[in-house]
Amino acid sequence: MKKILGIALGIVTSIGGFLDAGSIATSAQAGAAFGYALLWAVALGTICVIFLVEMSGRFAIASGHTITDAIRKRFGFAVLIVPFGATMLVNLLVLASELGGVCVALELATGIGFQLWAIPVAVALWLLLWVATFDVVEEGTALLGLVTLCFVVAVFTLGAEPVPLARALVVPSLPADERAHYLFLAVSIIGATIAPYLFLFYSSGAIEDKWDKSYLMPNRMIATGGMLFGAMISMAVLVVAALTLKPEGIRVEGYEQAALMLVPAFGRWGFYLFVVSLAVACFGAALELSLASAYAMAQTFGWNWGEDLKPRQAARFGTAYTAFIVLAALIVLTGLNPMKLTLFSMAITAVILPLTVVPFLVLMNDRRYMKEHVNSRFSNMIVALIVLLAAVLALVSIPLEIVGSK
Amino acid sequence: MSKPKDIELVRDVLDTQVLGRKKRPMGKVDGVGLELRDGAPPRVAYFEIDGVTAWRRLGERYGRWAARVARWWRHTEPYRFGWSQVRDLGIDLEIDVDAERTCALDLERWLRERFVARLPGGRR
Repeated sequence: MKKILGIALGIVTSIGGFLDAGSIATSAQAGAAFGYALLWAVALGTICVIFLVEMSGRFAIASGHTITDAIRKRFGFAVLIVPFGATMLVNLLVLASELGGVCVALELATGIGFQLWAIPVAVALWLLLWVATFDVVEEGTALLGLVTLCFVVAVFTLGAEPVPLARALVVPSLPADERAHYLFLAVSIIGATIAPYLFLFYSSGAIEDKWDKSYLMPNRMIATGGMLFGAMISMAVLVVAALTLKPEGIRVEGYEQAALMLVPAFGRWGFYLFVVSLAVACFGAALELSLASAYAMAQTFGWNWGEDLKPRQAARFGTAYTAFIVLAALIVLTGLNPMKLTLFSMAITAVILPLTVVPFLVLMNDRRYMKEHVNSRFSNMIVALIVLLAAVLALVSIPLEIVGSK
Repeated sequence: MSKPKDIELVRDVLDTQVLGRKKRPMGKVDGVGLELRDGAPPRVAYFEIDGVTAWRRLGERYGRWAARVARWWRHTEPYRFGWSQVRDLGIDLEIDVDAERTCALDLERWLRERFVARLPGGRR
């Protein structure tokens, strides 16, 4: 019984991690610009992230290590420092995107410019991490995250036709014009779906919750169910944008246009539902991201870590996320368009994915760590293929997007 | 308590998480010191926990930078321990030492006193 509850909870918590500024921004832009056409990118990313999350849970169960810790031990500090540095840099950009998302939501609700919200939001985020335990952070974001189900409700209210939707989900297509932007969005969607912090966070959570062999099956169910649940919502955002914004010819340049997408389904309340969803999803992701980055830092250098420890018991850990939040708030304060920042952060995520995923795959096949729980050849292939494909596409499309947007 | 009979220094020991008493994380094995002897094979003299040592493995220059930064928290010498203090070597390396009393936690203590204690809730 306790395990069933745990599985349900795990699935619900995954939404908190899944739907964030990245998914909302990329899906809204993709739907408004290309209709259903980019649904395949969400599907591809989701398949990959299901495998990766399941693996990181299985790795924690079988080896007792977190991923970062194991990469250091297996490949050495000198090798770890490369993916670590790249991940921290990208995490910082993504954290700034999430903070920016919360700030824009507050701007939309109050009319007060988003930059003015940067400091209050950052302080609220920091205070919660400073005083709360892991369970509060995890379950609180999960419960609040359920508000984002309104996008799924909207898909039904608006009466999306299932056949073209299903086709776009399985068959990738290339539009006649704006190919460069299409490719860039595809890459950003994949980057938003396969966020490295997601599976790094998940493996740290499995260690904090002391998972043993009896969790192998629940782990599989949580990874699959949770990621599918999350993917469903981010697909719903895309579909709603395709149904409401595209016919009106509304291009999503910022969140203020995206905020209109729920109005046809829910009227004036639609606007507030979007604002609340954006704020909650981004705040939840910001919590997980700050923690995930502090975990990565502590595990890289061998510090005391754990959200259940009081700050004075893990001073370096606490200092790490504090510094991280301060830096992210400074980025928001520069006044960069939060949606543009988000899209670029997601595309860069796709570029650096192989740096973490490839060493991780090597570990997943190492019997000294995994014993009989090593990867099947099939899951190795799937993950390696998707990640390498995304990285190559990202390297091609980022320069094109920069040239194209000028 | 288990110490394997046969270990490979680089594979099994270097970069391994070090735990003190009560499983308190102390850092990682950043270096291994060998003692050279006439007419006998070299012998492991000590293991070292020290960020500066780790950065020096990336290059002399990084080591110098790390040493300069570490001076802020008055960290001047590496923490060293011998094989006799090792209680367990598996996923982690456990040693029979009170972590709090060692210089391996110089930065932790410095941040706790200078930074964490001055913030609200930091003294709890």
